[in-house]
Amino acid sequence: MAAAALTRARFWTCKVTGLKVHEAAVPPLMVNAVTAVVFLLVGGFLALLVGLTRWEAVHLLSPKLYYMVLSLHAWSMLIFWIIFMEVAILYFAGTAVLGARLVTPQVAWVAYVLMLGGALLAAFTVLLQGDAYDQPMLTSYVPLNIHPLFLLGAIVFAVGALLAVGVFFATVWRATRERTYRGSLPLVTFGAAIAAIIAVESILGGAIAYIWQFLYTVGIVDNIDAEMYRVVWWLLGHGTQQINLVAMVTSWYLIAHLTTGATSVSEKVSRTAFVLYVLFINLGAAHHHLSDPGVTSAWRIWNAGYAVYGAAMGSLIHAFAIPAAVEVALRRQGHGGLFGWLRHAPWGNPAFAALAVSLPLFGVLGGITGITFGTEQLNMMVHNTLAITGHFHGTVVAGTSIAFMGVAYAVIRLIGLRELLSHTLATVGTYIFGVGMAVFVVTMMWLGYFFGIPRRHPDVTNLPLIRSPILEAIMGIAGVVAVVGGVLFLAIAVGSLLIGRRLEKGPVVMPIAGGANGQTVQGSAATHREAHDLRGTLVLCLIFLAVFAVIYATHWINLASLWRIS
Amino acid sequence: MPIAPPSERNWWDLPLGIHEKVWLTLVVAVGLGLFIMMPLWHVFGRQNPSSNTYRISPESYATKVTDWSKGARQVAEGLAPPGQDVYLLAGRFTWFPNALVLQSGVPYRIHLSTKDVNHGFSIHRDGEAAQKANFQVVPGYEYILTMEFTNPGVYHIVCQEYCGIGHQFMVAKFVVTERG
Repeated sequence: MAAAALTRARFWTCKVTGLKVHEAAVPPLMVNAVTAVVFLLVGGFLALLVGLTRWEAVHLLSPKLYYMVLSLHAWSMLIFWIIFMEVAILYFAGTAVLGARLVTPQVAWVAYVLMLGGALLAAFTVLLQGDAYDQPMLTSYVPLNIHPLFLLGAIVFAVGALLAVGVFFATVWRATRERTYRGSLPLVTFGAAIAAIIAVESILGGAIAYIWQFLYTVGIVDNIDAEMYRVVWWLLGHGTQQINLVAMVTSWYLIAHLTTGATSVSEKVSRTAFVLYVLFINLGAAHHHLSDPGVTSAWRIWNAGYAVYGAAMGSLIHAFAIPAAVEVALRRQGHGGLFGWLRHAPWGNPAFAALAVSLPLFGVLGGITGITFGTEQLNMMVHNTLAITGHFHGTVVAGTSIAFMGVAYAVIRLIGLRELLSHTLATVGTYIFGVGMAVFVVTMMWLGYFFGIPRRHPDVTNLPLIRSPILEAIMGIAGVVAVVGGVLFLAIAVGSLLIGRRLEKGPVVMPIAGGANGQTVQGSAATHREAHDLRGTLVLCLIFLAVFAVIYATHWINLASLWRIS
Repeated sequence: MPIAPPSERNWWDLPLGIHEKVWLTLVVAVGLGLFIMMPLWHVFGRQNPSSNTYRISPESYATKVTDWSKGARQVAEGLAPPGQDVYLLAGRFTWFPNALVLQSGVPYRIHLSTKDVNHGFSIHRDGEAAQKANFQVVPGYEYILTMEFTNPGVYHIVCQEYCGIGHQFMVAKFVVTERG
C-alpha cells in the first residue's frame, strides 16, 4: 500500500541538485513560506513605527499605540514570520531533500488553517481589544489582564504548529520506511529534525502556559503562581527562538552547499553539535530568570549555563564547521592561500551574501552577548534593558531572518521555479539590511548597557536617567536603513514569485561548484584527509574568540565596579 | 552533501584534522571556563543575585510594608528606615515608599514585592549611567537583596517591566548619605 502510494505520488526532478520534488508538497510549502513573508511585511512596517517611537526626537506613537504596535510587532516577527517559515523549511527538508512524498497533505492544510486562524485571532484581538485589557506584549505575564480571545488565538496557533511538525515527523518516518534514501539522514534533514524536536518541546510549553492562563482569565482556575508562569511561559518564549537558531544553522549548511558546493567536513562533528542542541539548549530559557525571585543561584547557574555550556559548545562548533565546509569547497576549486578562498567566494550571489552576513553577525552580535548577558551575575546589569532587545535582534533578525532570506531566494528558484527579478538588487539589499541591523543592534546594546535605558518603554524622556540623543538618533536611522533592506527583500521575493521569468523544472539553481550536479563533491577516505586544510577558518574563529574574550572580560570588570549586592 | 545522506557509511569513524581538533579542544575549554566563572564569582565576587525568597500573599506583604513604614522616620528627603530592613511595595504605577534615606557602608536588606502585576526594580546611580542593577519583582514573592552602597548620592529606581499604560511614571529614589 505504501509502495502504491509512492508510485501514485507525482514528482519532478531538479536537474542541478538531483532533488526529487513531490508535487503535492509544493503548495503547502509555498503557502507557508508566502504567509511567513506577509507577516514579515507587517512586522517590518510595525518595526518602523516602534523604532521611530524609541528615537525620542521623533517619538511617533502615544504610549497606548506604542504598546499595541509593539505587541503586534513582536508576535508578527518572533512567532508568526519565524514559525510559518520554519514549517516551510521542515516540509522542504522532509520531502525534497529525502526525495519523499509529503504524508497527508490534507493534515498539512488543516495545520496551516489553524495556524493562520489563530494568528489572525490573536492579532485582531490586540488591535480591537480596547482599553479594558492590558496589551500582551510578547510575554503576557500573569496576572496582567489579558483578553481571553488573544490567548485562544495563541492556543489555536500552537496546535496548528504542532500538527505541522507532526506532518514533518510522519513524512520522515514514511521516507525511511519507503527507503527513498539510503544510510543516515541528510544533514539538512537531520538539522530540521532537531529543530522539530525543540519545536515540540517549546510549543507544548507555550500551549500549557496559554491554556492555563486562558482558564484563569475565564475564571475556571483561581490562582496562578506568577513565577511558575514565567518559567513555563519562557519554554515558549526562549524555545521558539531556539527553533530559529537550529533552523538557521540548518539553513547555513544548505546555503553553503547551494552556493559553493560545500559539504560538512565532518558529519560526526556537525551532527554532534546538533545533538548538543537537543540535550541542552532549552535550559537556556532560564536566562530570563537570572534576576528573579523564586529560583536559587544553583538553579540559575546550572540552567542558564546550559549544564556545562553544552549548547554554546554546539554553536561554537557550527561556527567553525560551516565556514570550514566553504573553505574546503573553494580550495578544491583552486583558491588557495590563507584567505584566498574567501576572496573568491560568490559574494555577488544573494543567498551567499545572506550566509556571509548572517553567520558573523549572529555570532558576534547575538552569540557573544547571549552568553555574556546569560551569565548569572552579568545579567543583573542588563535585565530588561535595551541591551537585551539588542541581543535578540542580533540573533533573530541579523541572524535568523537574514539566513531565511537567503533560503527564500534559493527556494523561489528551486521550488517556486521563478527567476529573481534582480540578483544585484537582491544582493545589495542583503548587505544593506545587514549593515543597518548591525548598527541598530550595537546602538541598542550601548543604550541599554551604558545608559540603562529600559526595553518596552513608551517614553524615557521623563525618567531620571542620562540619555544620549545622538545614539537614539543613530539607532532610529539604522533601523530605517534595515527596513529599506527588508523592503528590497520583500519586493524582490514577492515580485519574483508573481512576475519573475518562469524557470523550467530543473533550473540552473545557483552557481554550484564542483560539478554540474554537485555529486562529485564527495570523497573517499583519502580525499577526506586532504580536506582538512582549514587554516583560514581556524584563524577567523580565533579572532572571534579573542573578541568574545574581550567583551566577556569587560562585563566582569564593569560588574566589579558596582556596590555590594548579595 | 548536506542534502544527501553522508557519502561514506562509516562517517562516524572518519578521523578529524588537526585544525578541527584544535578548535574542539578550545570549545570545550571555553565551555568549562564560562561555567566555572559563575560559582567562582559567588565565592570571590561582591555582586551576586540573591536566592533569598519567601512566598507571601500581596495583601500580607502590603500590611507588612505599612507596619514597617510606621516605625520609619520621615526626614526632608524621604523615609529613613528604623533598622537595616528596607521595604518596597510596587503597584501600578507607584513605588511605596517613593523616597528612602539610607547610609553608605551599611548592608541593607531590601525587600521587594508587588501588590498586583510583575514590575521591575532597576536601580541606577545618579550621573553614573553604567552603574546599575536590575531585578524582577513578582507577585506572591518577597525577594530580599542585600545591598551595601559604597558611594553616597542619589540612586534612581525605575520600573523596568511592562506593567500597564502608566508604566513610564513609576519612579522612586534612594538618597544615600555618608555614614554618620
